[in-house]
Amino acid sequence: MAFDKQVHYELAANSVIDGNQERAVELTQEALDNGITAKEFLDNGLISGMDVVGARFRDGDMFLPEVLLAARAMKAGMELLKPELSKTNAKSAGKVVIGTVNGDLHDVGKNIVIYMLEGAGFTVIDLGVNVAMETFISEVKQHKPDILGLSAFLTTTMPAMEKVIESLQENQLRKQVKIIVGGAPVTECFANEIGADAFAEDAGTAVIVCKKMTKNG
Amino acid sequence: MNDIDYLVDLQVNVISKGDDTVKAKTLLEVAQERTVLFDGGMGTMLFEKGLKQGDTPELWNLNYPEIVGDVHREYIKAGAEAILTNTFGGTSIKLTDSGLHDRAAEINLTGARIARSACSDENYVIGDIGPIGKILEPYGDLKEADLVASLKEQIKSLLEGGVDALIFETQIDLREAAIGVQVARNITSLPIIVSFTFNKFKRGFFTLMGNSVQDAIQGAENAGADIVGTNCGLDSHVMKDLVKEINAVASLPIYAKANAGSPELVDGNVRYAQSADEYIKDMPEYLNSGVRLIGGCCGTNPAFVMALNQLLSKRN
Repeated sequence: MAFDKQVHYELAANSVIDGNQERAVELTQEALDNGITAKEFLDNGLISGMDVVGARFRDGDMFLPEVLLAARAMKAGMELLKPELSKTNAKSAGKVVIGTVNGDLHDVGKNIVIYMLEGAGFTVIDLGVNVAMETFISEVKQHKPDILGLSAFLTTTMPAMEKVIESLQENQLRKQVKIIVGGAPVTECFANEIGADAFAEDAGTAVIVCKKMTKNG
Repeated sequence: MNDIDYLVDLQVNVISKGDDTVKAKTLLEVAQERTVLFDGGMGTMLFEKGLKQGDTPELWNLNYPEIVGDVHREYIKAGAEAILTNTFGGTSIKLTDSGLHDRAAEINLTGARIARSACSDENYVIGDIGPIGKILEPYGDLKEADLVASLKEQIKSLLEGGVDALIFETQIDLREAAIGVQVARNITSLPIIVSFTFNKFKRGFFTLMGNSVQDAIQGAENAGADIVGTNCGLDSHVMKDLVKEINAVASLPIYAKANAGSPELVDGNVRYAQSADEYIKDMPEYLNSGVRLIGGCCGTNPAFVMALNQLLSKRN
C-alpha cells in the first residue's frame, strides 16, 4: 500500500496525544523518509496532536501527567525535524521573549506555550521563572522581540505583570513589542486593565494569537 | 487502640511536644465530637503586614517572628481554636527556590514555636506542609527518595517545635500526599489531616494531576490520614458542592477552607471578591455536609473567623 500522508499525520497526532515518545520519534522519521517536509509534518501531525491535548487539558479531559508526557513526545519528534526546519524555515514566524514574572516559580504552563510556539515556527527566548522586571527590560532591549510573553500562576504575582508593562513604557520600549499575558489566574479583563495587547487562556490559543499579532504588527 | 499502640502514642506525644503536657483530647477526638474552628489565610495577612511579592513568607519566622505571632494571635482572638504554622513552603526542596534550603529545619522549628507561644495549651497548633512544588517521576523529575527526605526533615522540625497535628494541604497529587502521610506516620501518631485542592470541570472536580474526589479522599484515607478535606482553589459557593461530594465518599471527619472568592486587582493590589458575610452564608451547608474542621483559605482574615465563630455559637 502506498504511503498515506493523512493516515500518517493522524498516527503522529495520536502518538503525541498518547504521550508515546518512542512512537512519535518513529513516525517522524518515517515521515521524513517518505519525503514529507518537516514543516508540513509538524503542523499536521505533531502540532495538531498538541492542539487536542491543549483543548482536553482546558476541559478537564486530560490532566498534568498526560500533558507533560505529550509535550515530551512532541519535543522528541521536533528534535528530528530541527535540522530541516532550520534549513527551510529561514524566516522565523517571529521572535518571542517569554518568562514567568517575579515572585512566581511556576513553569509548566509557560513551557507548554514555548513548545507550541516553537512548533509553530517562532524563535523563543525563555527567561525562565521568577524573572526580575529589569531582566525583562534588558532582554527586550537586547533581542528586540516581536512579542513579549508574561506568565503568572499565582494571584499574588499578577501585579508584577503590570509593573513590567509600566517599566517598558518608562523605558520607551512599549511601542516596539506586543505583549501577551497568560496563566491560571489571568483573565482577559485583567489583561486589558494592565494594558497588555493580548491574552490567551491556553497554549493553543497563545499560538493563534501570536500568529495574528506578528501578521498585523 | 491496643495498649502498645497507646503507649507508643503517649510516648510520641511526650517526645514531640517537649515541655508541654499531653492534651486531654487529640484534634481527631475533638473533631469526632464537634466542629473545630480553624484560622483564616496566613499569606493574605502577611501581605497586609508588608510582605512583598517574591518574598518567602516562611522566612518571616526568622526575620519577623513577632509579626507572624501577631497573625496567630489575631486569629485566636477572633475565636480560632486551631491555627496553622507559617510553614506552607517549608520543605527544603521548596525553599531551594529562594536559596534557603539549608535553613529548612530552623524555619519549621521556629514556625512551630511561634504558633505554640501565640496560643494557650487548649489551642491546637497544626504543622503546615504545602505541596513540594515539583512533580514526581516519571512525569516530572522529582525522585521519591528526595521527597521523603525533605518531608521527613520538615515534619521532625515541626514536631520538635510542639505541634499537635500535621496537615498536608493544597495537595494536587494523591501520590505525593500518600507518601507524606506514610512518612509522617512513621515518625508520629499525632493526627494527620490531608487536604486537596480541586478544580471544577464539566465532568466534575479534579486535582491538577487528575485525581477525582473519590480517588483523592479514599486514597488519603487508605494511606492513613485521620482527617480529610479540601482547601483553596474555589470560592465558598463552588466548594459547597465539592464538600457534598467529599461527604459522600469520606468515612473520616472532613476539613474545609474555601477562598474568599476570586482574586481581583484593585490599585495594584490583589483583593478577594467575597465578603465575610457572603462567605458565612454558605457555611451552614458545609456543617450539614459533615465538615467538622472549618476555617478560611486565601483572602480570608480574622473577620471571617469571627463570623464563623458566631455561626458556630448559634448552632451549638
